[in-house]
Amino acid sequence: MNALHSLQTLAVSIRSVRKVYGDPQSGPVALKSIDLDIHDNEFFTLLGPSGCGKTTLLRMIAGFEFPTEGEILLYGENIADRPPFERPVNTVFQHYALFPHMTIAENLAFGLESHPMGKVLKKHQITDRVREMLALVQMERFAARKPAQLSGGQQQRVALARALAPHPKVLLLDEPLSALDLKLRQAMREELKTIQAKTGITFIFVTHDQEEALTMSDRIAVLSEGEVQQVGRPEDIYERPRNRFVADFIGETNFIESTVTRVEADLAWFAGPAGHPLPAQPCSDVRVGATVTLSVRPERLHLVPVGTEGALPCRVDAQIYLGTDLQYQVSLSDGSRLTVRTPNSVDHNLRFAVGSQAGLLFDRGSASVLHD
Amino acid sequence: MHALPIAHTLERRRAFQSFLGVSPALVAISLFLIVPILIVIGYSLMEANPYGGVNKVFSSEAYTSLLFERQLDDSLAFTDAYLMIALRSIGIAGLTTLITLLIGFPVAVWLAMQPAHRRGLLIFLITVPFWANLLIRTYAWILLLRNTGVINNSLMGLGIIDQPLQMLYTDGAVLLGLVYTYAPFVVLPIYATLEKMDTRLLEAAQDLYAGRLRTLRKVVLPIAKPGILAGAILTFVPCLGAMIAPELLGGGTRMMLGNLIFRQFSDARNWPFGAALSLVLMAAVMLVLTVYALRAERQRIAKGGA
Amino acid sequence: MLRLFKRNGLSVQDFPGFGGFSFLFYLYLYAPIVVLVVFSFNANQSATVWTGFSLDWYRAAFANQALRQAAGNSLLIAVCASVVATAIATLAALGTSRGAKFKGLQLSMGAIMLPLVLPEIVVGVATLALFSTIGLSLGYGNLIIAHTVFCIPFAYLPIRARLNDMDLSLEQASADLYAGPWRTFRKVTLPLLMPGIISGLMLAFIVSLDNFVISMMVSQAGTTTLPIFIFGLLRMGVTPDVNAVSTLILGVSVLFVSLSYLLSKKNA
Repeated sequence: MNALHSLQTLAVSIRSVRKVYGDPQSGPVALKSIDLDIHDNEFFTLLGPSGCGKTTLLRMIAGFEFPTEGEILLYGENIADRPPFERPVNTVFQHYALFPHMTIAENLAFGLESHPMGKVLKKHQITDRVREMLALVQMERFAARKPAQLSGGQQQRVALARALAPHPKVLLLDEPLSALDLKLRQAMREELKTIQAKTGITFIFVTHDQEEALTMSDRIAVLSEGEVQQVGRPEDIYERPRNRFVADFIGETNFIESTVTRVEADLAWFAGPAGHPLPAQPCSDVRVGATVTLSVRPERLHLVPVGTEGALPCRVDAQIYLGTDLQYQVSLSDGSRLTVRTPNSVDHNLRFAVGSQAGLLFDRGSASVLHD
Repeated sequence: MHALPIAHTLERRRAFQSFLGVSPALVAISLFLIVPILIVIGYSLMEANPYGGVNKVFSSEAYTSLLFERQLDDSLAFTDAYLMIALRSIGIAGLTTLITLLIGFPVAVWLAMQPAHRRGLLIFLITVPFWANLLIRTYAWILLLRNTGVINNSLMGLGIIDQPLQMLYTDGAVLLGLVYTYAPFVVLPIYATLEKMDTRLLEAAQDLYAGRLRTLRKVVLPIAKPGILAGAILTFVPCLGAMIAPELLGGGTRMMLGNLIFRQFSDARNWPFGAALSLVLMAAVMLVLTVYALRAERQRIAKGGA
Repeated sequence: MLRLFKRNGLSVQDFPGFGGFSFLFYLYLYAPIVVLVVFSFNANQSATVWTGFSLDWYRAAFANQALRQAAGNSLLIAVCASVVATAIATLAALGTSRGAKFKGLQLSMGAIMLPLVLPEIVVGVATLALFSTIGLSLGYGNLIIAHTVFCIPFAYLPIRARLNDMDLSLEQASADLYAGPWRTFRKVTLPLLMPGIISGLMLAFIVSLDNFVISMMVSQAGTTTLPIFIFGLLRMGVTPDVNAVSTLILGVSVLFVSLSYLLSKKNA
């Protein structure tokens, strides 16, 4: 695995980047200390709530802001002190920022006519490239229109094409789908993935929508309050959240306070709710008797008829219909309350009514140890 | 990692460029307004030249003339003539401000409540007289107010009166003219503040049993306050130095500071006195503006600004 | 027209009586102007007794050599002053509302607004004092200089407003797409700023054309502007040709304000 990684060039490398506004000693800190590596040809997402610093980080890669400390390497070169027009990096803005006084074709040609990275292009090269980009986003018919005449989704595609036209090494996308409605957003997600795969350009995508991050990314960096909380593939982030923030921000989860009962080579046992033993992968210095928070996703819990072998007795407090799933709130004998989610494909007869008794089963390996 | 110097140099270069941009304006205004004001201060301390202009001889005659008259035996006697003019100016300016606010506020509220597509046209209709020539607009009032003017002629024609009413060359005429001049100055700032008001606040107030008068007092008025204050300043300050309305509508006897100063440079040919009066006027204006600015600054800090 | 002032039923936003009051207000604003215009077409010598429709006074106005001279002077001064003032104001607006803050920014903005804030008579006295002291006697040059200075804030305000409304991200997008600062200015900032600049230009033009107090103070023997000319006519008594001249000037003002309004609506 490592050998393969070393063969991949690092598209963007963020080294100890720190951003403070105003006075370096006392001003507001936007980014505390960020270290990130983004690979070539990767769809990388910066995910986090508003104010976490993800947009600031993106703008520093683009060149609209400069780090107070640290380096930003683009394929090995430090670009942290270069203005935006000297970086082979292009941005798709949140509200598209299409030039209202130019036609779509002129918008697309703008970057090419600006001598990108010193390259002077001939007239026919520019027109060919514009036509190519229009075809890529299926907007050929709109070449002569002005941005005001286009819908939100169409403007978004033009913004994408405009940013791709000058062959950037990395494409930055600042919450580009946030202004679109749900159906359009879902369609655009697919389109963006396709285009990334087709062009092979590294995409760095910023969003606060975790569903978007999970469906589109090769890897995700979860940020909060100016720090990276966790970096990994979507499955890793979801199944094995490192800390409370990540577990809570992505999807829903049950937090279970537990004590360590047994530590084995690659497994540890924890006393969960009502003393029920739970196995989980330990991560460094987990000692017997220590109190640890575990995270268990609701869909890894199952309700079975009361009295089933190995099931914890519980009482159903609430039943919520979610369309695709049924969500139950249950309480156990020791007072702890948990959320259980079951796909709605289950037979109606197996639904549990409010107030009824049931049994609770834990999937093996469903518990994650949280660190903080 | 050490802090990047590039951010600072870029920032400083851009700050310098901004300064360059502003410099032609600053040069123009320093040279042709600020320096001249200094010259005016100088003039106020010089001797009047009977043919107009000044003699470059020091004299404090201008300032003593403000309050004292030189008798034939060279002694000084207190005269309140100019003091009265100053007080009248302040009084009329204050009254004008009050009246324009009373008139302007309901109009601004009404405007803000109109549907958006109508508002543009209605505001345009207020702006048009605002930009039309003031001299001409004030002259038009002469047409209306004079003894053989439209109002008197209509009233006599209808048989309501048989002697023309003396309307022109009264304090009332000056007041009317000034209110007319400054009414848009009041309506527009109040409207601007109210335009941004969320009309759902009115719904909330009336949902909570507030009648329309109470809603007006407790919801609309406080929101409009900054606009009211701005409008008051925009009216009071220029009104203090108004020249056209008192000159055309007040005749020679009901002078305000504005046309008093004007006379010093035309008929009376007493430049130093005119200069002194200008400085008095300017001081009054600066005083009012400073109080307003300080108040605005204090409010801004209280609201949590930096 | 009355429909502008009536509304069906009373909604939450209605304050009874305000509509009627506002109607009276508009009447008050326009009554003198309407009277003026109407009487400019009066066949009679009297400026205020109507006897019949006539274009005589307009014919007299156009034939009046002194009037044409004064009008020409006013136009010349207005064109020169407004163009120079707008150029200066554009640079100033870019300096104060784009680009980095520099020390004394607030003070600079205050200084730019100074001619607006001081009473006209004070500005007039000061300008006269300056010209008298340095002995500047350029005739219309004096007036052009004086007008330029007080036109600067009038041009500055709409340009600054337009700049503040302009989406910063457009200039960022331009830089992102490899355009250096000059190219960004030429291709993005300036075209988008143009409506504001034109608005400022027109405002400065009207303000210069209409100016009376400062022009009166600064003008020397032999230099007349249109408002000074009219004031002279007024001094001699109210006559109908004043009405005609006034209506013409009003017409020009209304034209310009309407143009400015339509321009801003088009680019909203």
